[in-house]
Amino acid sequence: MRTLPKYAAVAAAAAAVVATAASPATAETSSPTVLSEGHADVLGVAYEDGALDLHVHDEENDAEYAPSEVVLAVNRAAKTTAPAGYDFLADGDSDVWILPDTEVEGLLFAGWATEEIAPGDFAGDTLTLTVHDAWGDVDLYTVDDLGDPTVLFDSDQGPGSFTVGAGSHGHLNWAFGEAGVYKLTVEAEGVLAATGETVSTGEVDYWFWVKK
Amino acid sequence: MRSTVIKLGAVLGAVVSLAFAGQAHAATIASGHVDVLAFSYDDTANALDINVHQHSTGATLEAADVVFDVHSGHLVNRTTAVACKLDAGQNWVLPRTETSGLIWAGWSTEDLSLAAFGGSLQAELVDAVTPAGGNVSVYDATTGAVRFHTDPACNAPGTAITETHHHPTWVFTEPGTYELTFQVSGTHSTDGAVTSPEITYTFDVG
Repeated sequence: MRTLPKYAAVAAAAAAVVATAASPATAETSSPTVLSEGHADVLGVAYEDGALDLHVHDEENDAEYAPSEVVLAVNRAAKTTAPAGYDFLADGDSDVWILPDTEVEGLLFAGWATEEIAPGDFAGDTLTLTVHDAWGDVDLYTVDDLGDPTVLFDSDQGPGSFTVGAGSHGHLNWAFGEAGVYKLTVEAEGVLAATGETVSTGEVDYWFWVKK
Repeated sequence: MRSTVIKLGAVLGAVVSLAFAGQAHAATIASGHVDVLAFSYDDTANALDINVHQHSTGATLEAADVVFDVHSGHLVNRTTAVACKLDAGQNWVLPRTETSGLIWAGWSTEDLSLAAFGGSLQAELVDAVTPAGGNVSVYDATTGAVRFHTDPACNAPGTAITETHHHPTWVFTEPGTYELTFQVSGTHSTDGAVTSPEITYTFDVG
């Protein structure tokens, strides 16, 4: 968390979201599903009826949700110490909650998927995923076979984009600096191979709940 | 009726010749998601086993029936060595994350209850036949931990298997045929100590 006012805002929002999730009085359309473990394609991209779409695919239960319908929980077991040399994770203390790019029992195994994008639909068979903004301190990164990270998004550095192949699937590390509720604003876009037109999902909000 | 008998005889003959050939491998795996070490437990027989689980087909295969084709797509050239992980020069690398066209090799305990074994099994690399100068390193890039290594100097003859599903990095330092023999043991909460047979895997590198 970078500033106290922001922390207060997150805490207030956390209370609001948790209250919404817990309240039996709210209509079922406003009760989000909490995904807290197992394999989920969080950044699932589809292109249907001329529109690009971001959704969450829960591989454990073979269920699909709009991002607004789910809260992605980061369980307490994700709390760890920032690895040496991962300076981009620094937020003033060494505590960090990480959903790793490998499957760990009891944690959400959160990735991206473009398996619903047919080959040839998009120029170069690629799409661009952009994280525009996040509440608090959030870092998204991959790690290579020598343990060296590649940062895809660092909330301290502004928006971050990365390219993904069509008809593919991958995983990344999701790091959060503090417990609380986070909103990530994400966009997927691509250039249609047939027309050269750029299509986009627009900015889509994702909700993460990092447990203390 | 007669022809059926002949056919059956032919099939039996084929099966027998396959069994006697010993080295005949039914499947070649050159890419995709595969749990190389898929650990399983039969509580009736109190027996641990290790098989190959190929995700693309859903097939569970005997390790003896599989050749892992570590083709040139896996080749990584390095200017410097990383101790007990990679050599300077050529290495054939099975990456830790899924990469199109390459083998994504992991292990899993999804076919048994790790909790019934106190949360951990012990897997050993009991034997390794490698090309001259060739070594195999299986390590976790995120922690730096070497899980298996064919060189005794790297002090990684085996590892505790605590994961439900895991993908380390696998490195082969020379081209050629590798035969790696694994064995897994554990202590079952009700059935006691149990050890698998020695299971040999074949990797055709380069």
